[in-house]
Amino acid sequence: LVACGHSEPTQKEEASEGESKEAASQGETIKIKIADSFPNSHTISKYATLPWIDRIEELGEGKIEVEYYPAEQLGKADSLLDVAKNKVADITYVGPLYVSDTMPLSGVVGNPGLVKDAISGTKAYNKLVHEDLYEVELKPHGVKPLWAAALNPYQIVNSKHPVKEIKDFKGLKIRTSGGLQEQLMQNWGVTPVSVPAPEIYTAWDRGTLDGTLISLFSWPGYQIEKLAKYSTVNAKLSSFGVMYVVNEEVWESWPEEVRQAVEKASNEASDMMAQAIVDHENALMEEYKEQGVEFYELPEEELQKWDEELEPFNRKWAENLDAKGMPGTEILEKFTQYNEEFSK
Amino acid sequence: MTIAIPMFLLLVLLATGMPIAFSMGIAGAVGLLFIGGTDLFLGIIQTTPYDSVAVFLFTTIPMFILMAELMTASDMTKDIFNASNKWMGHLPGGLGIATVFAGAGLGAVSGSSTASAATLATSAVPEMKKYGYKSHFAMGVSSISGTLAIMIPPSIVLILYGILTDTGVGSLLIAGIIPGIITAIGYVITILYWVKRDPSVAPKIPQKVPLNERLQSIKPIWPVLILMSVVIGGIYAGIVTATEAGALGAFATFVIALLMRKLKVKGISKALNNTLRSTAMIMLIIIGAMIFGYFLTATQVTQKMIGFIGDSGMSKWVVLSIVIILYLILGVFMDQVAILILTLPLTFPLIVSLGFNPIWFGIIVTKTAEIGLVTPPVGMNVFVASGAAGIDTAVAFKGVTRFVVTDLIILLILILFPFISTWLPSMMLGS
Amino acid sequence: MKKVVQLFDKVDYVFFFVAKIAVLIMMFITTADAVMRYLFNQALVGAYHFSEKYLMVIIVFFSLSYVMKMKGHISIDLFIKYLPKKLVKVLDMFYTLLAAILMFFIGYQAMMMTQEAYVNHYVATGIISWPTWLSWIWVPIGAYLFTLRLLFIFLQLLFNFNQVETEEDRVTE
Ligand code: NA
Ligand code: NA
Repeated sequence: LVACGHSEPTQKEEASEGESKEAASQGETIKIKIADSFPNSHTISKYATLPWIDRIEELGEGKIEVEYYPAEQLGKADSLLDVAKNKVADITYVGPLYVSDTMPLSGVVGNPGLVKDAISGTKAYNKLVHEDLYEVELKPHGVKPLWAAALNPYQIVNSKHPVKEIKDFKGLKIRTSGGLQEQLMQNWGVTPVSVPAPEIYTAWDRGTLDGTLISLFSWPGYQIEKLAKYSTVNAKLSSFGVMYVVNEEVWESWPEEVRQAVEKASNEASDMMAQAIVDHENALMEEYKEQGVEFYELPEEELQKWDEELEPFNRKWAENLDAKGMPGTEILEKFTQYNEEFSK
Repeated sequence: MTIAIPMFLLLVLLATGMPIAFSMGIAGAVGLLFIGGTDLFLGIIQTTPYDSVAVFLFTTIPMFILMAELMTASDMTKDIFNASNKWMGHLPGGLGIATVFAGAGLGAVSGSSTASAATLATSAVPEMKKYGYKSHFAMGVSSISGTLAIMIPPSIVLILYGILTDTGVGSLLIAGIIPGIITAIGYVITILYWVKRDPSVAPKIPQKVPLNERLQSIKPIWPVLILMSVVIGGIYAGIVTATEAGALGAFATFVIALLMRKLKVKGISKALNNTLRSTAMIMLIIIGAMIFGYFLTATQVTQKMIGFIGDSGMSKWVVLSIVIILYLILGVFMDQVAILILTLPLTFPLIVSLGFNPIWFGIIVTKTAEIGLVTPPVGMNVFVASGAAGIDTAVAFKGVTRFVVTDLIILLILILFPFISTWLPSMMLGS
Repeated sequence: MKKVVQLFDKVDYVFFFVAKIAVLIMMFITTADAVMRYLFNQALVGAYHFSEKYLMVIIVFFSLSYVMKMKGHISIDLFIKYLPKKLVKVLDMFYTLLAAILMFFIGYQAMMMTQEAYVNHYVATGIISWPTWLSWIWVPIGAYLFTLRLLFIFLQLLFNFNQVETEEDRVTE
């Protein structure tokens, strides 16, 4: 009994692959366990994960049954890569920024100044993950990418004054989530403050914070609209990456038609998600404008200035990785190039 | 079947004396091996212990406990009891009432109900026995007054609730103030009623303390008042976040006690020992509960159960009643921290989707946790108070019965009138 | 046997002492971070990450074993009063061994993670570069220490099985 596996049909397959493929073709269903960290009400699961799961089951024509474990039910966000690696689940979400130590190259999506918007950014990141990152950074962990996406970049949101130039950052207390964000903010004269997410509201309300770097899409979760007064709309500060990966051994054990179904659904998922995010954020922005939040665009020449300031950060990031024997510069260049291609 | 065996194993292990943390860890491990083999088991235990511990919000646990321990080491907590005693000792059941007040005062600076119960048991129980109070009365009052610490801010339970549900910790803490005061009043009424029905439990103390001596007794509690303002004021003024408040409070206690020359190296060392003792105990239970929790979710039984309740079309009040009864039942035989970790990821989305207020639900859950802390067989406050006072747990469990009834009535009031919980945070934080 | 245990207690206390110092450091740097931010608009860089990923792990894993010696890991004693004394002793032994096995696996798995992080030079970057293995290594050390502690308790229970229980030996808390 102890030898019996994490999901019965898959385990049988590990025991004897040929036998199980035969079984599957004879009409047995394959159970796929998918785990992520988003609560069911979260925009990513509502607009991407849940429709994707439905699509997998639909394309599986009764041969695939998905068991979905949302909301960190099988592991914390930082550990979901290990959850897939250890076959605790078959497919998991991986947030590249949560695993910046194990998958530093994939974290390029969070570098400032690269992703322009969710639609082009998603196309670029999905391509980068499949074509470039898979070999160097996913395969060594025994996982294979299914689909990847990039959210609209973070904006600078605060309640003190509109940030229209870099010097306007000076003196603000801004919540950052570590990494390059923290370095960048410190460099621009900000006091970077680390606050756990559930405490953002109180900390801001009490003046421990003046604002935060955040994308619109996360506002509702933290009631940002009640505190925010000013927000940029077109800054390219950092983007949040989303990736769903599958354990390679499990993938190999699935019958061909199951793999095809999962692949097809996954190919559709990333574009679907990007469009849904953009629509959703536009609706949110209209709503918040009415509530009195000032949204403003940075002029093109100012954006260029920011990009120039950001360039050395990215270069340094790449050089650090190069020094460790990883293709930092190559990945940075490719991702920059893909983003330019897709945003034309 | 796959879920029944580990569940049964858990109950057997708990009942036959295996430490709670290990009972949950072992039962969870067996369950994981059972449903997913070694892959699942080894995968879960690889990341769970580290992930359960390396959480910034959890730094509040050692910090608030340290603050309470430093206060005890420098006799500040004794001073609170002394002052309440001087003012209220002459009333019927006066030492009991003084203990409730001391519990509320301690609660306002300490987030740990067990630390508070232990302090009360060591300072109040000998005093009550000196005046001929019955042991079960003294133990009951001390154990129950300790629970005030998790309703009155700061509170480890409310902070944990905030972490697990992404509800603002600051709002939750402020929400606990009024329910905490109502609870304290409820305990006082219970004592008055009890002593009226059975005067033998708390013989009257004839001499009233002269006003002069009473005023004198207030003097030594100024550090406690300062510490209260440091913790609550620190959050309110934006100096610290709710998580950092424990560290600031501990630091302030440390400095005040050193300046007053009330803290020696030995005292600091003992406070640190006790802090680690409680922290390691709580965190190991959290790790065990997480392992067992992953087993439960991997079976999908709980998700299906919650889904079933959600889809059943039952009225929201019926669902709420089921959830609250579930908490009360779990509270009887399980540790509070473990209950929160195991259930909140499932009950919280359900309750919120039915349109209930998340802050209010946090207060309701905390109230059930207070009750669970004093009900046998797992009643942490009773364990700790009994250990500190050297009195059998059965005596203490007998003494808390009446207070549990009071708590159930207060629970009902909190359920029926949500504004008791939501008014203050909406006034102070506008959320 | 007794001497070995005494020596182990001393070693264990060294780790426990490190955890005590870690608690104090956490108190100081968290306060300093908040006060500096409030007064001088200048955060104490890295205080948050250091508390979360290093001090917390040290505090918990370096104290688990010694707290077992202090009998701090609570259990339910309400029912065992009604069980035969011999049975309780046997169960105690068996449970201690089970716990030791679980702790060993936890330690082993964490050791693998630490090793992976070390070999691959995993680093969490920010203003400060934080090596991941230095955040993890306290888990296997603490878990192995705890395993040893549990094994010693098991052996003591085994050797003293037929001795009359003295107040000191009582395992209930
Ligand atoms: Na409290
Ligand atoms: Na209980």
